Amino acid sequence: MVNAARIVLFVVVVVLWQVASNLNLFDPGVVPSPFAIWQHLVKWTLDGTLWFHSWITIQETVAGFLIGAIGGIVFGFAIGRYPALAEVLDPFILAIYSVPKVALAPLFLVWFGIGIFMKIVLAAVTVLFIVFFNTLAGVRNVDRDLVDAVWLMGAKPRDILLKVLVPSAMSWALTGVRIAIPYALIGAIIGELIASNRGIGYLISSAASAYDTAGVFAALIVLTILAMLLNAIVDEIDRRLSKWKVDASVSIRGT
Amino acid sequence: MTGPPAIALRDVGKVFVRDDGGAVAVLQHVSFEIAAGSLVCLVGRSGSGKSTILNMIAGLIDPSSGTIAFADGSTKRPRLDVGYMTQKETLLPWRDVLRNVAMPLEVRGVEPARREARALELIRVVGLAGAEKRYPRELSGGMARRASLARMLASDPALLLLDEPFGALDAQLRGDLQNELLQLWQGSGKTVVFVTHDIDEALLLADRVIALQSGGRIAVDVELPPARPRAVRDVRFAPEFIALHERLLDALTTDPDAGARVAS
Repeated sequence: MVNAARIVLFVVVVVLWQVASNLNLFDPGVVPSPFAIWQHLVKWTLDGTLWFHSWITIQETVAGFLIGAIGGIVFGFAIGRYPALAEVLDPFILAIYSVPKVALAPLFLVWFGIGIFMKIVLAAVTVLFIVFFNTLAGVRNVDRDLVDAVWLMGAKPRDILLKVLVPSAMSWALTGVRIAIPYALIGAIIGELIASNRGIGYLISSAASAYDTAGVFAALIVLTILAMLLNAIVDEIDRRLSKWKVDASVSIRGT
Repeated sequence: MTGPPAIALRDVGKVFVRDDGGAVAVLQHVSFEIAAGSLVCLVGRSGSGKSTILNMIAGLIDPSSGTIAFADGSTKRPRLDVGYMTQKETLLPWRDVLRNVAMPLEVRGVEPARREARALELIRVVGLAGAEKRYPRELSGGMARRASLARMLASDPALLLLDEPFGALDAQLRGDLQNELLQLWQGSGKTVVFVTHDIDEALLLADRVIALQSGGRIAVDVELPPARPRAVRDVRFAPEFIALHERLLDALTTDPDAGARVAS
C-alpha cells in the first residue's frame, strides 16, 4: 500500500515535471526535462560511460572505507588500551578531527596527485576518525563487571582482551563503521569534484562546466542509486548486529 | 565440622579512599570462619560491608589489613575454584546461552566437545533446555538468572559466592530459584557464602546466619536448625524461626551507626 503510494507520487512528480518542461515553463539550461535526463542515462549506459565512472567511484569508496575502518579500529584499540597515552593524544586527535576533511583535499592533491589514490586517502581519513572515536569509546566503556566476572572464572589477560574487551568494543566500533559508510562515498565524491578525470564526481563537474544540466542531473541520479545501495548494506549490517545488540536498531541516518 | 575451615577471616579491615581524598573505614576487625560444605548467609543493611567482604573473599579487592585464608591455609586468591554471582547480570551479551555457560570451561582450556556437553547438561538441570541458542537480551529475568547459575556451576567450583543473586526478581520467581539453588547445593559438598539484606531469604537458605552491622561488626552469629527442606511457611510462622527473625531484625535495626535506609 505504502509502496503503491510511493510509486504514484514518483510518477506524478515526473509527469508534471515533463509536462512543465514541454510547456517551456523551465529553461532547459537550468532545469532539464526528465526525458532529456533519461536520454543521458541511456546513452551513458550504452556507451559504457556510466559503468566506467561508477566503477571508479565504487573502488575509491570501498578502498577508502576499508582502509579507514580497519585503521580506525586498530588505532582505537591500540590507544584505548593505554589510557595515559589516550589522554596525552586527546587534544591533538580532536584538533585533526575538527578540520573539515574537504579542506584537506587540496593538500592531498599536492601530495598524492590527481589520480584515484588521492580520493582513497580522502575517503579513508574521513572514515578513520569516525570509526576511531567509536572504537575508543567502546574500549573505554567496557563493563567493569563483565571483566570481573570473566576474571573470576580464571581467565588470563589474553582471554579478557579477546573474549571481553574486543567483542564488547566491537559493537561500538561496528556502529562507527555503520555510520561511516556514507562518509566514504562523500570523501570520494569530494575528491573527484576537486580534481579528477574520472568518477561520478568528475561526471558531475565536467557536465556542469559544459552547461549540460541534463548530464549533471543524470550523474546525480547515478550517485543517488549508489548511495541507496550503500544504505542497504548499512541496513543489512544493522540487522546482523541487532541480533544481540539492543540499540543497534536505532537508526542513525541523516547522512 | 571436621577439617580446616573453607574460609577464615582474621582481623580483616577495609578502607576505601573517597574521590575527595577522605578515607572511609568500611570494615574493621572482622573475624569469622566458614566451615567447608556449609551455606552461610551474611545479612546486613546497605553499607554494612557485606558485599565488600564477599569481594575480598573472591579476590576482586584486597583487604587493607588482616588476612583471608582458605582451606589449604594459603591467603592466595582461590579464583580458579570459585563461582561468583551478583545481582547484576554479567552474562556476555554477544554470546548465546550455551557459549555463556561454557565460558568458565573455555578459559580453562577444556576442549570444545567436553565443555559443550557439560554446558548442555547444566542448562538442562537449571530448566533452560531449548534456550541454548538464545542471546541474553532474549531471556526473561528469571531465565537469565538460571543461565548465570548454570555458568557459575560449569567449572564445578568448591566455593560459591553469591551477592543478592535473586534480589531483582519477583517473590514467586525468587522462591523457585532459591529452591533450585538449595537442590544444586545439597549433597554437593560446596561451600556457599550468600549475601542478602532479606532476613527471610537467609532463614530459608542458610545453615548459619551472620548479621553484620556497620563497619562489619558481627551482631548475631547463629546456626539454624539442620532440618531441610524448610518451607517458607515454617520460616515465617514456626516459633523458633520467629524468634530468630526478631533477633536478626533487632540487630539490623538497632545498629547505632547505620544509615537511614531500613532493610526488611
